[in-house]
Amino acid sequence: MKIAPLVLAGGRPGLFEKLTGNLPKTYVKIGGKRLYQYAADALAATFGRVYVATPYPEKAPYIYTEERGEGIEQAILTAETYLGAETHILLVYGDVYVEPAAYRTLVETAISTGADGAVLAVPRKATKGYGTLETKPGGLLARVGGVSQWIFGGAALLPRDFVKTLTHATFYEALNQYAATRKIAVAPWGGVWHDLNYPEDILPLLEHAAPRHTHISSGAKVSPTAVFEGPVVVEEGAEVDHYAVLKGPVYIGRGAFVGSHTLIRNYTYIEEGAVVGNAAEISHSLIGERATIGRASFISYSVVGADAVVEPNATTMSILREGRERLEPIEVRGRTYFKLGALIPRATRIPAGTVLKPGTGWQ
Amino acid sequence: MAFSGSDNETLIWQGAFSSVCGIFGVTFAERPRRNLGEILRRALERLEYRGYDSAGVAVVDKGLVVRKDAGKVAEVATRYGFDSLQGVAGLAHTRWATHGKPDQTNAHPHTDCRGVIAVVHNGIIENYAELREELAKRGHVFRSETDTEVVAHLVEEYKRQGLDAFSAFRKALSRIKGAYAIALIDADNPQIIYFARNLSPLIIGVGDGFNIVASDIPTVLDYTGKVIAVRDGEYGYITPTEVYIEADGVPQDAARRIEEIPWSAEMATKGGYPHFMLKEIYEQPESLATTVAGLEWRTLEAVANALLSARNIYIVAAGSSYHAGLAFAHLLPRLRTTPIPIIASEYATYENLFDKDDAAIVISQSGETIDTIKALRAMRERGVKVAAVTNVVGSTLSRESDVVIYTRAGPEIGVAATKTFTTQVATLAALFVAALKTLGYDTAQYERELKNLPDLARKTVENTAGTAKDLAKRLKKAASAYYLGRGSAVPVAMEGALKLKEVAYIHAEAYPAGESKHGPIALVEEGFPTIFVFSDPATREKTLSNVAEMKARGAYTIGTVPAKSDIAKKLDMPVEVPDAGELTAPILHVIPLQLLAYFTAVERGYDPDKPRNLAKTVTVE
Repeated sequence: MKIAPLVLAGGRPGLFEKLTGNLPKTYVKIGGKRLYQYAADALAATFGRVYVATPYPEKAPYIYTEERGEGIEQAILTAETYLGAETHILLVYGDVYVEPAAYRTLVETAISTGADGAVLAVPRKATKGYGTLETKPGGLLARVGGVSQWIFGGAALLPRDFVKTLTHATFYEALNQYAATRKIAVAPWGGVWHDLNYPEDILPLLEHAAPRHTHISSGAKVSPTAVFEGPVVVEEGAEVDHYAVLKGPVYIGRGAFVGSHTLIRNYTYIEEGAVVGNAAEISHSLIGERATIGRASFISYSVVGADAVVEPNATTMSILREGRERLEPIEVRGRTYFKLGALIPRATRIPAGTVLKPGTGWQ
Repeated sequence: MAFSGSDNETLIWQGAFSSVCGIFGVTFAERPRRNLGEILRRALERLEYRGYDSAGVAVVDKGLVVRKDAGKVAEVATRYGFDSLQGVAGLAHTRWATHGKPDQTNAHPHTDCRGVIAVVHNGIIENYAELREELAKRGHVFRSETDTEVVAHLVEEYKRQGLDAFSAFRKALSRIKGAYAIALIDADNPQIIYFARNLSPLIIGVGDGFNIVASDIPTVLDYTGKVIAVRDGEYGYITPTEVYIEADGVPQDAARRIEEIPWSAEMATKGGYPHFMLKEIYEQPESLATTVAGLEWRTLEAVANALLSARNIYIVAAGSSYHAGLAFAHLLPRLRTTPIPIIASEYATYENLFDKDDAAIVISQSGETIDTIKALRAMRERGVKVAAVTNVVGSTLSRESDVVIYTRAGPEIGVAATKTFTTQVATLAALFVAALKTLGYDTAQYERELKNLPDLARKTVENTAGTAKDLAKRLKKAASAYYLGRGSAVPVAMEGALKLKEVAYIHAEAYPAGESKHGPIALVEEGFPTIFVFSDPATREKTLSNVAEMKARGAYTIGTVPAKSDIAKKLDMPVEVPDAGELTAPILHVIPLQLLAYFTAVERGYDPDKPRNLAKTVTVE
């Protein structure tokens, strides 16, 4: 068998429309990369090549397979026609962020148990029908959709002939039919795993995808009075002005500008071409490509879409009175908070001096 | 026997699923640059996680050379100079005893009468006894107590009848039943390795001028990234240039099945799992199935009789084994006997009591725990009758005790005991059932419980993992936690607290829930995590009053509760566990606590397989 890694990067934007417009949610850019590229790059590094199913091919070192029709079933069926001599497909959801070791786990589990394929299982309290995985003796898949707190982790190694089943069944139905006659191993995964269903899910992802080491590109301009603490990545052509304080992990994209006396706190991403005016403070936020943060603004636990303009002195409040769904508590010096700032859609303008209440704009 | 229900299918599954024994074979076109012996030794080091009680190699150069013995790979390899062995083809095996104690004779490879054929095997050959008898009648001389040796003699027999080696191998396979991965070498055909697989894993590595068979992928990856997974029921042979696979006499297209693994042995995971601890938690349904199916009721009844007629009963162990002992100790008062549980390192306090009219249950996974062995020797010196409960065949504990009861968990690599703990509790629960039987009670209900245990354990692993993961996110920031229970839930709480300490490095204390108000409750403040164990049906109401006390002081209350009960509503975060009977509930309730410790360690960024300051087996006082 030969493995064809396939990333499913298509789909509707849904709630991510505010950030990606018509593009699928997997196209949201974090740390200079679209979300689906995290999976694609990891797979390409391992397998030497990777197929990406999407209606919006880009210039990148992947083999894009055009997506026709609706749903992942059609995407897989179309992608299959692009394959060469590969006998197996390693299917990966483009909106899931997982350590690359999970892909190896999947392949090794299938081979060492002598199964025909394998599905990645991650622990999660889920409602029925959420891709729950029930097992049978020997660690094999019994069925999808039963009662279980191991759910489908968005990665599966499947024989190529599995694809035929998708002409008349949904992906989960197809897995069930397949598991009834063939052996599908369940590979439990306990490490980092994060999926993006709602825009809020970007905030914890900022921690997972954060830089681990400091790297300042040779073509970046960093003032001698700027202070770096912790891992900070500064890409080509970016500029960090006098007396800026960057407390890593922080990412500064290509050609971005960080003004003087700014305070850039941890888990902040200033994407390509974005501008941060002087004396602004940003914490735990994603500032989209070409966005502008005006002078003396305060942005915390927020996502600012591409090309948005936040005029001077705008403030995002971020401490919620009480928790809400999908938010994890944050502990600071022994106290527990729930934090959620604002979602500022792409190409919008926030007038000078605006104070945005906690949780503004998410849905 | 009434209870036996010995379900061989389950036994076979265990052989396939949880790794028991590692095999390796390689054949080169010409002598490799590095000595063949060194290649075999390195393979054994990789495979040691699959079993580590004995190791051996066979090489074909001018004739067959076999070197093997009981002991760890490094010891055996040094003692017998594996690295200096030369040759073109060889086999290697690392063993985890199932048939026959670990010693030189029982170590693999096994040979035929003439010393021409050598075989290594992972799995169980069910019908070996009858085959052995048949072959012995035909004049074959057996040296070991293993099931494996019959394969070598069968092939020898069919060769003697005029078949060529492969036909003889094929015919031999048609005679054996069970779970196996086999590699066989015949000095008459020096560069061919014959292999077969049924349920136990087997991988072929396709090289340039050499080929490999092995139990797992990482071992192959040291030499080649091209692998073929052998399927159930397939067999064949490798030469340095050819891979031949057959199923039911029909040749298979091996070349088409070559898989390229683009990563190195160092990057490979452990049989597909990120951590051994998760693997071992996850395979508990299988290890429990094997343990229950393999219970020797006659031995259990004999031990039960000895306990019931003893003056004092001591239960001696350390660490998790001690908690398993306590779970058993909680059952004994129902038989109107009062056990004396002793932490092994504290045995001296009780030494004056030890007497020839006494009996003891001594528990140790490895059978080598020094504190436990010392206590055992002190008891034996004074004539105490000792029954050992251990996971390792041939261990010091098993050799020095009067009777041995084996748990059948398979090798455990994670330092924190998981599957070895639950199989100990299951084995001791069976001992309690045997005691009830001896006294003439109807035990049908309890026997059903044991039989349902593997399935319920699977449901528990399946239905508590998500909750445990969520809780871990909360617990990771805690400095301290309490584990509380009453009655037979106390040892479960103690085991849960130990897991959290061991792998997540969070201070955790277990208390009988009622005792918690005599001091410990003073520490409880807003958000203090308190984990209640509701495994004991008799004490649920009273434990609930402790929940209320803790809640009143702001504790964050977590609890393992029987599914579909009202208890869940009284807790901040309930973890629902299938409602089993009282005998097996402690086993099911500890599973979410193991998962909680595992996920908390991962959330905190620690490697749960290698806790600091801890060794798997404590062999120093």
